[in-house]
Amino acid sequence: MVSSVTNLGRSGVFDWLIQRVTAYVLALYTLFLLGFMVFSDVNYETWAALFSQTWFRIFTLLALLSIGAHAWVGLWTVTTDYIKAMAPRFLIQALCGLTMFVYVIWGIQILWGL
Amino acid sequence: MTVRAWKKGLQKLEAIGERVRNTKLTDTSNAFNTARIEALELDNLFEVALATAISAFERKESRGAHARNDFTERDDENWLKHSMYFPLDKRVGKRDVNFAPKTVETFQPKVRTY
Amino acid sequence: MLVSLYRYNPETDSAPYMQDVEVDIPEGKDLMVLDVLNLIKERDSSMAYRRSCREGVCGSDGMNMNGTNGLACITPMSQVVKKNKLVLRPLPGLPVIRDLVVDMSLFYKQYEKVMPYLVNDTPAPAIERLQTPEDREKLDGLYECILCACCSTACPSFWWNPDKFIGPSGLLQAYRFLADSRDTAQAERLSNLDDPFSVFRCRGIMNCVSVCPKGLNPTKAIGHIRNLLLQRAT
Repeated sequence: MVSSVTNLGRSGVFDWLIQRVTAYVLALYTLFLLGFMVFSDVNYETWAALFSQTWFRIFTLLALLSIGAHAWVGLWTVTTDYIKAMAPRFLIQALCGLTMFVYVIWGIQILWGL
Repeated sequence: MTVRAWKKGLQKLEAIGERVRNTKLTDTSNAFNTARIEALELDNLFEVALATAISAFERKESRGAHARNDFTERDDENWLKHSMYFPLDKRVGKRDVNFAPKTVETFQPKVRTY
Repeated sequence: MLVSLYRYNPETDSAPYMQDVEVDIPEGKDLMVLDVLNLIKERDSSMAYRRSCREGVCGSDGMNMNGTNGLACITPMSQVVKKNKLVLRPLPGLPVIRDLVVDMSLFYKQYEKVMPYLVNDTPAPAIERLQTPEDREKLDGLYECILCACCSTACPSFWWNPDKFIGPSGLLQAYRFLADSRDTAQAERLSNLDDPFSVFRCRGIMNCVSVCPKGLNPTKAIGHIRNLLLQRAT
């Protein structure tokens, strides 16, 4: 049993599951946006109308959180593979975490006009 | 005849023995030296070959895989024994087989007719 | 033909180097790589490599031949030689002791971690512990591993974390016991494996399947382990 504290979930299966579930969410969100851009007029009114609907704001927030989780697990894997010294690795992981946090809060601000 | 063939074989073997005694190692390092292992194995192989050749000649009977043309029958009276080879004087002795019963009745030796 | 050998003697060399040797291969014969190595060693006895059975069952002579891992004794020259040249290097990723001999300790340590023995503390039956032919079939493709390390040393995930990721060989063996109907420690085995490193560094690169000299499929076994972990956890 290898112990790890910088990964996201509480076990190996949990992280693996998070990657797959967030991937589905992001795929759905991407398809939806693509569909929207292809099948309807994209101008300020339609875009603002889309983003003013609560269900879409929630969907977008879900996608944002999914990006955060997916990126954290993904970058954690990459840093633990290639950066062997603890100090630089932890620093980069912390920076990634900080960046995700900023994006999420900023995203909430944008979505709800706070 | 077996005796002549055997003597010729023993001569060749002892000629090899001379060469084996004159082997020299060119690789004398101590890091995983496979040449040294092979040299030691060569010494051992020669000793075993000599022991086999001499003991086989002394056993004047045929028994299982030990088959000879000049003594074609099994000789339980003289040779129901273990051969003992003494390498220092190249002598062959005999030792009794242990017939003491463990958990089953001893099986009496009899002629093998399949 | 030209054979390029990886040479390193820690007592005399400060760094490894490649040594080029011309070898005369008898016409019309397709020799095995091990045969060629033996020919080279006859001329230069300082060339060190492991070998034993010469028939592909002991796993001693695993090495990297023209870029691919395999067993030297069952790899014919015709299969590996490219442009009349053969490059022999030790298995990648493991520390080199001398020439083509590597230190297998990391590999064995990961193997030991998976408890590679049957755990069954119920009282021993009067005859053997019975197993149906169907249950026995589940072990096919798992028990044949000869621990040659060709797979694990071909796996990039193992290169980056040989002390934390169990590696394809260890995981194949782990599944061999997870799938054995006579074993009673499945829960304990799965708990031992459920962390982000032991199993989940496998990204389906599948180098292991491509190099296994016994034709085994560690990726498939790892998939089974993942399923067992999922079932247990969700």
